[in-house]
Amino acid sequence: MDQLVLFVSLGFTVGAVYAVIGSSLVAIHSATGVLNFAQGSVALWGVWVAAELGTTGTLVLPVGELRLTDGPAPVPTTVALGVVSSTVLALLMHLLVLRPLRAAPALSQVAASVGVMLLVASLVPLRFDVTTTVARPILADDSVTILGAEVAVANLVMLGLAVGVALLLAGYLRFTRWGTATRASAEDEEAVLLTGYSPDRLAAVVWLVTGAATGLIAVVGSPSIGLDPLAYTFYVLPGLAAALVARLTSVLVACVAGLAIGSFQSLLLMFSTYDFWPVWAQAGFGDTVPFLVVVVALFVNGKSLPERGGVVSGRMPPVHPPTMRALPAFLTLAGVVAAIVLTEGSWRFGVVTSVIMALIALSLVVLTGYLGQISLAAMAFAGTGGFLLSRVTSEWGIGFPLSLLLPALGATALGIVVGIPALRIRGAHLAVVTLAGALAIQNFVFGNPALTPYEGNLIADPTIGGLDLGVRDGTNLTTVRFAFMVVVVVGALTWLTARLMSGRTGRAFLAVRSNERAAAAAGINVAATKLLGFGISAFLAGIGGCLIGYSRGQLSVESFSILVGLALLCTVYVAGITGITGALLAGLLAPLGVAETFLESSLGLGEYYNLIAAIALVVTAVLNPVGITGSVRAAVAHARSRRHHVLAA
Amino acid sequence: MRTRHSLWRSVVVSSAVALALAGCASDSGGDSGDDDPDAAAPSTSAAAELDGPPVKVGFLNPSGGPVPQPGADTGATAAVDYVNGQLGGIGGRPLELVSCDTDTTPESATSCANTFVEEGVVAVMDGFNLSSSATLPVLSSAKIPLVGMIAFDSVTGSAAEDRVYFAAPQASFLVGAMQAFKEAGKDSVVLALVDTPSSHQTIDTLLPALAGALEMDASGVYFSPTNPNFTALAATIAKDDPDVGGLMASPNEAACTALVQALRQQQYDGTIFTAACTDYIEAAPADAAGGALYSSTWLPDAMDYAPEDVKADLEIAQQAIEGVDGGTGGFYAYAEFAQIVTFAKALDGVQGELTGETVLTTLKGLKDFPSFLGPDITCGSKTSPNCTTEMLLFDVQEDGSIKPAGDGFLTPVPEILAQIPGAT
Repeated sequence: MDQLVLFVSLGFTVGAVYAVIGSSLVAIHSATGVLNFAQGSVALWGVWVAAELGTTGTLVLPVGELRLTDGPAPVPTTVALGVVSSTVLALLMHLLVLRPLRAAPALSQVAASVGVMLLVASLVPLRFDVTTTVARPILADDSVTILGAEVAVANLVMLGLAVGVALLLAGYLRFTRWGTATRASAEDEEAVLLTGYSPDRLAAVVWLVTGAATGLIAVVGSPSIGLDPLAYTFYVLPGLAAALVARLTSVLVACVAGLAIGSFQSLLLMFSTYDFWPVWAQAGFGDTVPFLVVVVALFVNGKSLPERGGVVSGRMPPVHPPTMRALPAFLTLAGVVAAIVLTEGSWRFGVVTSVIMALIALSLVVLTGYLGQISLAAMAFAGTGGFLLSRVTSEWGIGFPLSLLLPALGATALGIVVGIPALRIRGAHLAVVTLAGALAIQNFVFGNPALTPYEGNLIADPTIGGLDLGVRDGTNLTTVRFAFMVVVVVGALTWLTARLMSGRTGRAFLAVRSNERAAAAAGINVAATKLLGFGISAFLAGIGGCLIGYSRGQLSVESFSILVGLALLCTVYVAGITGITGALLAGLLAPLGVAETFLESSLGLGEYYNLIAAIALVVTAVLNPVGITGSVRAAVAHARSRRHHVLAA
Repeated sequence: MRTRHSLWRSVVVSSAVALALAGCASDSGGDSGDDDPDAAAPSTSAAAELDGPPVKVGFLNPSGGPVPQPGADTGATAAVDYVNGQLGGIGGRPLELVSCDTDTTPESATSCANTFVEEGVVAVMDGFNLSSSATLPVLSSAKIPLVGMIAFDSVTGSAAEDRVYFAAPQASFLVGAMQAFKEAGKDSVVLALVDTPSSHQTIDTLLPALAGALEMDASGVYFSPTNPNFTALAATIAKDDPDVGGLMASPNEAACTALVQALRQQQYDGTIFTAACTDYIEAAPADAAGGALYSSTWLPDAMDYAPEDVKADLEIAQQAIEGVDGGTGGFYAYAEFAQIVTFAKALDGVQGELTGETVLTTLKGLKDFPSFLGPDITCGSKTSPNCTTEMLLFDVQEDGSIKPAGDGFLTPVPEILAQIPGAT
């Protein structure tokens, strides 16, 4: 019993952080309709600012730094400045990123908040000394005896802080006029505007309060939780789970759920040391299970989540169905072939990687751009393809091209399973569900020791009719044969997808995207169309994953992690998610692709790749929501119409 | 019109951002560019006596990402200075390190491998990279060997082809430490490590074998790499009050410090085992006393207990490492230094042109070769990339120094090691 009490209480510290993040997500959603994926990053920045001050006395800013004291700064200063940093970050996010997007489609908001999340995550290792900085103790080192267990006072303080924050937030929303107005603005912004309140100002108050609360709880908890340049970023996942348990309406329920998840994970850690606990159900299990429970809950209650009524309802970015014209297709193909023939070494490797990544990007264009289903699981499907390829080639000895098809079909099956919740869940909530799917695939498939051989996921080179299609030959990093194989596979699939999207299937996809009820009324089977979309998308990603596998020769989990998946969605979004040209451009911008090769070998800026990508994403999401290809198309159309006008005059 | 405005606005903003970034980056790039010639300056002046084209060697520098090891870079820089300045290069030719920054992702490792092939290196130094296996398909195809101390990527450590690791396999450190604990009368051990498939496989295979062979009660606790709750972890370790508790492998020094603090808060009074961390000793020597850590290499804190010839080598390494501007000490610096110096000494007498193939043959042919700050090594195993299974276990003393358990290097029982692919 005392062990049980001890471990439940040990979960309070991290649970309190989940709880405050969860409560903040609920409050922000009430005030602005945004699901803020970057709330964990708000905590991350504050924690590192406080830790650096406590170690060296230097206040680190995103650009530049101020030396405040010669040695470690006193604890009250570190806590105060950590909280201020988080608050300023949250407020800036509201003013510069999400306020301009309040009328934008859910995808823009997801992409922008994910962009901020990636931005902070890539900035922390560049700005702070992550090897030696230590979070110094803030709370007293005492303990009290509760039910026979020695419970640390620090854990109880954290519990009290989390509950206090939730009570304050709930009280503000319930009992103050501004709070009532904020809740009202969630129902009807126009009416609130007419009563003389500015929804923007009301939202700013919520951003400010939640930013400060998140910063405070994370900074105070960091000495027990530990410092990590990424961990707090991912605390948004249990925070989201808690917020969804509270159906995005109750701050208090979110708080309780967050604390419960923390204690549950702590208990799992305790159980994992017992002999009866199965080996496969250890740490990854604790990260995934709460999430899967939430997904089931979401699916069951799919329609009861609040949809927000705004002043301006979001317009989706325009889609241009593929026109199937021969000339642009031929020119693109000729360009790729020329790039392959004219380059060598790492440049040709970059070109081939770009072509492969374009296929995975295409899977997102189909699912998110055409069908309107926001998915964060594309990289997980690609990974499934790659990992199955390793089994298929090295264990079962199946040859090319069947070795591509089987893993892709496996990915397709998984894609359809992950797509089932989409039958009832929409928009940003669906993004959360697919994130849970990706997490489960990562932990239970790629990360499962039972499925991973000790020697790693090795992949045999492809051969066809005695012809070696392997990627490398001696010091030749990328053979022309392999490059052409990739071009043929990707080209054929792109052509097929274009055919599909320009025909009946494409029209059905667009109809579902625009209005599901209208689509159903027009005789379209919405459920089947959605599952078809998930299936096609996972198939394309699966083939892409196999080609990545062939190009590397062996694969590991890290290549397909959630962070990579998020970065990919963002890259495709920046490039233009509503058209095939966007996918091609995304391929150029993707990791190890042509753009990174250029940054690395020509400018020597490889380590800034993630930061540059994240900044580009936020800037694009805010200023140019149609993506690069969209704005180029608009510019071309504008130039044409001008010429037309000039000629007419 | 509005579209065009926002378009122009976005172009202007993006260009400004890009320029600002390029500005910052080229500043820092410039700095590091300046650093390199400075750092290389002593070697260049000493290398005036060296002739012939340089021996180019790649270096997977673990300098970026969430778990950087800046000590490895310091050790490598110091070693190149020492090899070119004091040892007379490799066969009279200067050693040139082609450093490539990695960030623990397979993508960065692959990209570096591509760069190394294009640069025409004759070997690649693995700077304790967690994804070094991603370089193997590229390097093997180009017949360039991967050379390291300990394979941190267990996939790399699982086979012998095209790679040579001068120190013991990961499993050795665990088995050797357990044996030493057993001898000291400590029967129960709980160690934590990051939850990855390879760590699972190593521990799930080793622990039952260890427990059986040594009649010990040994168990592992896994913690999430993205959610390391050290307080809960410490409580889990301390739950049954084992004789030894701690970390089996540590992502960085900060993780060790955090866990030691948390264990002490839990009133845990057994032996705290801290993988290869040393920083926490300096931070709080009183708390650290009674703890234990392992190493592949003699460390300066053990100077008083080292044999005479090792003392001289430790002084050389210490001087070189402390001579690196803005460098970082610790295990990674000394191990990387030892790795490159051992490499240079092993290749010194090779006749004819040095290629990837001759480097591999030479290294695989080493027999009872005295490694720098390490044991005598023999590298020709058909099943293991490692040249030894011997390791050091240090006990932390009251004054903050560390004393080797036993007389020096310990040899783990081969029967237990044999259960891990590539370990023997």
